[in-house]
Amino acid sequence: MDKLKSALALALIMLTVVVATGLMIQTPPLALGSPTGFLNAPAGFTETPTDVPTSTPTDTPVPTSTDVPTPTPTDTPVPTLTLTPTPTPTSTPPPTSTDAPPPLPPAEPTATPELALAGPRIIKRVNLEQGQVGDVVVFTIEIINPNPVSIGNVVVGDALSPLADYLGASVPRGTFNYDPNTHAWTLLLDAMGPNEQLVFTITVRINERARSPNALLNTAVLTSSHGVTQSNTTHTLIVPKHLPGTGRR
Amino acid sequence: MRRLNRRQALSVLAAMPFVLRRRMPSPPAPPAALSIPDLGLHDAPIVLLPILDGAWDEARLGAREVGLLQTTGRWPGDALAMVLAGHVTLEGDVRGPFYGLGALRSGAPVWLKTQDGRAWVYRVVGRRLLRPDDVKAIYRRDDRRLFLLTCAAWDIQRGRYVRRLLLEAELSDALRPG
Repeated sequence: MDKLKSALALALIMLTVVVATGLMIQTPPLALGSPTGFLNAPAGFTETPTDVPTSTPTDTPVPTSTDVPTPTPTDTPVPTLTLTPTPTPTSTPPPTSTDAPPPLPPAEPTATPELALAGPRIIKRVNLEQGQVGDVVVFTIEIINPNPVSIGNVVVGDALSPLADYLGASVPRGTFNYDPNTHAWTLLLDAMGPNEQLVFTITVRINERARSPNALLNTAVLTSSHGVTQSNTTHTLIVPKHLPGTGRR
Repeated sequence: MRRLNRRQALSVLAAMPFVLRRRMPSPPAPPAALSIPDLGLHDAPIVLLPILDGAWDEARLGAREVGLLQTTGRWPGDALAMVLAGHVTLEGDVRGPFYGLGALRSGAPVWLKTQDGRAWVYRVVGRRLLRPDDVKAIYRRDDRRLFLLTCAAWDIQRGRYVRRLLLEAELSDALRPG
């Protein structure tokens, strides 16, 4: 009898673990339609729906008392403006008597306002996910100064792939340069105004050196008085020129 | 609290692996075999068709094998649609695994078995004729899509097929071995 009780107690503990596990684990998979009686099902398979990988979780997680709300990440950094209070100059009281010690010289301000600036952002996009020799690829680069003050010495650099030939660029302002030996493209902007946003494009053509399944990977870099910021990497897959031949006679 | 009797306790224990297995996500597995009942195709082995020297290595395709094109989707649920290529005919007018593919009706089931033993049911939803150089048409961001590719439009004068047939199928259900 004691053994039976022990077994039951063990079973209850394991059941608790199962239920708790069930609450914590979400089933990921693809949202699937309901099975509707498949004809000619291969032998050995039943029509029981099963867990299928998907990007849309179908189970609703049950909140528990231990759940801690997770802050939603955003890719928009909020500029933080931290002002250090400046001591307010006070007037020196007039001497009340001639015996009084000479007045102290006016205190010089010891602290100036300090701005905690957010880093500028640089985002890169590409018009083609798959490309072939001869295709024109357009990179669009967006740079943003999210601060309420200007930032200086802004330079955008882009090491273009040797698998593509440079065709040209379109910029709203600034001066740009392309070095055919290093494939380096550079844009000198000097300063960016408060909250300024600039969009420009670089156009290239995939050349004969590109061979499937290589890819055109590209990353731009923004340097400024605030440091160095790197963009995301764009990816253009070089695909074969022809579909496979799937018929002979 | 209600106590379980011995039989109930045992049934709980027996159910545990099933419960855990159902709740745990399964890692993706590449496709292993293809069946299209309406074509009389059963468990055709799926091989990877790599890109060699800039082109898919179609020499790996035979009278039975179907090729998963490198750089397309790698398994059911991958971000890109999977593309499986197979011969329509071979030398001597031997029928390939995709012979008759163009005659498949809409809604016809296409069974895919993955290397983990699971089966995936797709249903035909459309077809297109492509030029041989229309390669980008087979790249689609759709995790529920399967493309079947074969040759079409035999040109007697040129002695070759001049088009490609692209059959589109959409994921309908997934099954586990019973």
